[in-house]
Amino acid sequence: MGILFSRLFYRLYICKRDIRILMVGLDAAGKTTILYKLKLGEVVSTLPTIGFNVERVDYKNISFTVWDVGGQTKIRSLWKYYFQFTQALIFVVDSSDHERIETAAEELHMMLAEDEMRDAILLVLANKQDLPKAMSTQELTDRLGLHKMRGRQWFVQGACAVQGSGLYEGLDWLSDQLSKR
Amino acid sequence: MAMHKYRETGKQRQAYKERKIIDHEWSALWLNNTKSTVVISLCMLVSDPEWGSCSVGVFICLSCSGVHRNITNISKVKSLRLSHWEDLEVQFMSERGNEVMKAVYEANVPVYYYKPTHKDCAVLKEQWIRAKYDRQEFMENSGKPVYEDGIDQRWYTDEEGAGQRTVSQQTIRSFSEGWHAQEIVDWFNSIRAVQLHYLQVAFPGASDTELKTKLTRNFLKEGYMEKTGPRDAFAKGEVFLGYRDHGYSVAAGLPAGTHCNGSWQQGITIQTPDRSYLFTCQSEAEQKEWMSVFNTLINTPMSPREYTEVVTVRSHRPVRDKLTDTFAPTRERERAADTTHSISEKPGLD
Repeated sequence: MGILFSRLFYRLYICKRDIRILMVGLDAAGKTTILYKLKLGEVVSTLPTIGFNVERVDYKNISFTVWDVGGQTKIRSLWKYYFQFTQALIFVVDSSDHERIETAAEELHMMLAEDEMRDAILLVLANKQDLPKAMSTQELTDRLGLHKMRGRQWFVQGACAVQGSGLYEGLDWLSDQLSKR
Repeated sequence: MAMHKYRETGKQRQAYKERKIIDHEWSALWLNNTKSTVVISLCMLVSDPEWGSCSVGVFICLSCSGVHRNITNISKVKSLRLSHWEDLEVQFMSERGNEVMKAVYEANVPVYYYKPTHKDCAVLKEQWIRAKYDRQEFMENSGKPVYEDGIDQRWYTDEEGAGQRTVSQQTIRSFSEGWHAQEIVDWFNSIRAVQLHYLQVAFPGASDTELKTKLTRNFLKEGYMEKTGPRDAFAKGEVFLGYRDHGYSVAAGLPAGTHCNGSWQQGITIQTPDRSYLFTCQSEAEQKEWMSVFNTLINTPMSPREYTEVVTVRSHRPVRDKLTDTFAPTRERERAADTTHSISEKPGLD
């Protein structure tokens, strides 16, 4: 009983879990803005990412190490070098970009088919929800073909990085899922 | 493992080859776009306009691409090397290009409007791009711009002296009270519009291009230095530079035994009739640039108008201190204005 209690206590208060997160998505989806909104609480003006940004975000006793990798067409092939030890994938989608949602879906499924991503849980951040033509999370779920996926935990969270809405809700879901493991 | 590595290198080599071909195509297209004029847009002075807006049809640099991609309704940004371009898009770019689009988007730029260069601060550059592509203020039938309102409404009836003082107070307020970037830049151009109007009245014979050189300009240089030396306080961010014959001089280096902080080792000593000011820069190049700006100022005689402005400015010291505090919480930020000799007197476009 004592051991059980001390374990619980340890899990709740002392142990700070390290989670490695890979954040990808098409170019101009808002990955870097999200990363720095989480890290600094501010909206920074970003340039297209060539290469990657990495920051540690502490939230609810979990230390998220978030890798934000550039999304231009020809550097998407480099995403795979970040797959190893990734526990969670954040896939950022520009909800207002109707033209490229199919491309986004293709990239997502290609990535999830990789062996190294077998155990990673998936959080889709439907960014730019503030824009007038933004697709709903329901529509995005359909168009990204998430219902067809088997054997993976996934969740779609609507977000707006510049207002900061939806980001912590996303992290909440991640921490809930990962603490169940 | 070794096999795997080898395969990857082969792939990379293939990718590299493809990239080379694409680079070549682009550079040919790009050269066609730049042949006739040297300065076509903000980005032309930057050596690598490696980005393009495939919806507008212009080539831009990395820094401008950051602004363009925030105007998603107008501009879709792609990297020339890192993005995939459809044939149609390439054709679109080759039909348009910076010069053609300049004729469209800059058909009607007011003569007083400040066109930033790549060296200017972010707010000026961003607002230029937004004014040009998003708000389309300079197109053929864009109508009368907001910054011309001042000419008939706010300042026209004002006596020149009083008007200018109010303008400078308002400008200071705009920065300390956190105006929206667009308002700041519109205000800056309103001032230039009014000034041009006064000049046109004062010099009826002169052409606008001649008068343009007399307008409020941007800073000669903007950046950071650290102040050092004895602990006697002087107003933050404020050193007045007069004419050399009145006892002003600038020299590299610091008096022996002056403390330098970390990487801030390149000293500058500004001598004024009252006292000396000690500054440090992070690199020799920075030091040289600052020195050359200071020397330009010190070697230019002051005009009678500038003497009056000095008096005006000094009577509003508390407001200015507030301004500089807002802008430089940790380090001294020095701004050198070119038309007058005071460093922080001009609107601080940042």
